[in-house]
Amino acid sequence: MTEGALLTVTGLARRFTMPRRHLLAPAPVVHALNGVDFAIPRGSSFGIVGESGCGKSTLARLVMALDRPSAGSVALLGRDLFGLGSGELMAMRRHFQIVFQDPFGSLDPRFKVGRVIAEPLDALEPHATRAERRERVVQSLVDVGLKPDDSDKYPHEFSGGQRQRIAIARALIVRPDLIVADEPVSALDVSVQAQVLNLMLDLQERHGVTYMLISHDLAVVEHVTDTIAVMYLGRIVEQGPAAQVFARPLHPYTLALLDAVPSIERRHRTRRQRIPELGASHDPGDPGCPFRARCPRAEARCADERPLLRPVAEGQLAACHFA
Amino acid sequence: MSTAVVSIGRFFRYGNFAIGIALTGLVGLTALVSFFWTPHSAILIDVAAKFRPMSAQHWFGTDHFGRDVFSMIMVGARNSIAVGVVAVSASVTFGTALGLLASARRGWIEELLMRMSDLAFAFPAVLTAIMITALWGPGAINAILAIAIFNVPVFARVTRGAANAIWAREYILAARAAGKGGLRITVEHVLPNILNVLIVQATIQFALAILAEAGLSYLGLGAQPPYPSWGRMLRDAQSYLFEVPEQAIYPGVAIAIAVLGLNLLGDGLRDAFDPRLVRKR
Repeated sequence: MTEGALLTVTGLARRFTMPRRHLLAPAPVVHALNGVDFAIPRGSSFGIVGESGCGKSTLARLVMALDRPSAGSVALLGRDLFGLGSGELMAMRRHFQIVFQDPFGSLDPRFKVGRVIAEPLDALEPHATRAERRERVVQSLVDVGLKPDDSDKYPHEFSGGQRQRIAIARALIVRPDLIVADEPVSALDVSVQAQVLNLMLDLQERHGVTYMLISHDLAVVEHVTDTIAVMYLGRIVEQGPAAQVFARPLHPYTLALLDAVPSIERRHRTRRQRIPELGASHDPGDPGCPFRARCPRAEARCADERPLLRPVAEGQLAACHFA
Repeated sequence: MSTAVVSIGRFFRYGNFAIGIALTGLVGLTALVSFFWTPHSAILIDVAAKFRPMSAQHWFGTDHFGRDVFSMIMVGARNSIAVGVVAVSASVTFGTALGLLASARRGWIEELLMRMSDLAFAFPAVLTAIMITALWGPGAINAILAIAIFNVPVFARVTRGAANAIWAREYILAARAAGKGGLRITVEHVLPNILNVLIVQATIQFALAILAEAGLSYLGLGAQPPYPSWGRMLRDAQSYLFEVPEQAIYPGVAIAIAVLGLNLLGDGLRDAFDPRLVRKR
């Protein structure tokens, strides 16, 4: 993969075994991730988009080593997270932190804000002195635009946007190299979304943090990221520089996603092509393209041969025979 | 809804809670006072003065051995509360620890612990207690042990249920991502967030423990004579039910007050901790 990448994900797959429908039936298996590869260079922002159920959050959990993959590896700073002992993994955690989607669920209601923010510090640097801890909490609060004395309040005293700032401050306190943001603004009011996104960009500029941003909202991804990957049913179907992919989508699924963005202007609406809701096969044994059932361009070849992710244009990859 | 209806509803809600506090307080205070003062000795036998009716000297009269019943009720409160406190504390400690372990580890440990608690639940509580006292002999300590043992699965199960709900929260994932281990998450995040559930359950189990202690004493398996206990007073009074029926009423009412008070207290606490439940009523 890319030289000197901060995060390298190779062949990552995760299967979930569901409860049997009845005693003798084989347990159904859901393939949430089906072999995902990408690399994120230091200091950049990598966006992952896709509809719900495409495996985005599973990917976030695997990258955060909160779950174990069925196959593949996640390497941060050149070290495979799943090859580490639990102590080594603990020590590595200072390099990568996460911001969750729901700012109401991701903060313990019984912790004061100062303690919430200090949580990674308390776990990873238990030898920090009180004064040092206090100083870093304040620094983190100021970094995200909150007041130092907010640390003595409880999370319920804050609005959704402020709570997400608290969550960002918590991720930031150990000065991680990578922050995984799993739908960081989709639970927020539209008016607040831009503020939080701008804060994230601002922090990147100041601290050089690398983002892996997961979202179903294309506008969010376009606003923040340099490179995007479009996921469909556990696979990346298109990847490339954000501006380029938005301007010239090569995979029919990306095109459909972009078309699905509601527009106020009528002339834009008429141009749009519709794709069927769902109904695509998700059988991993299926030899063809997983998207073909919904694809307006599908041909006989798509049923027999799965298109691989391949370079199509300058820096742009797509998994489509016709791209 | 008119304001009158609302305030009546409020009275019942907070009224019940207040009554619960008052009754529980009454029992507690009685037990406390009995350490310093009782009108007469609760164990002194004076057969010549047996079955005295209510009087200024013997408020609740005297029993078949001529002991002052009011003093016995007072000292008996001490016994009930002591058994309840010790038994419930012991079962809270072990039950909660097992429930937290089941919830933190999941998998076969959870299955094993929960199936074991199913097994314990399959026997009625008093039967378990009788079995234990039959094995180790009657006495206050064994009664406490018996009551504690049948309460352990109750707390294990309640704890596991509540803890599983907390483990599914996103702030637990956040704590894991922050680098905290299972034990630390259990102590810092899970336990504080299920404490209210445990307090309510402990209050209710306290009431049940008092009832169970009375039941065991009634069967002669609890505190041994001459130490007074409500359950044994009830049994002694039973022999003279037709001659002096009021003798059965005093310990019976004492037990009822303690159990009712704790139940109302538990209900009130649950409402106080979970405002959503109140609105639904």
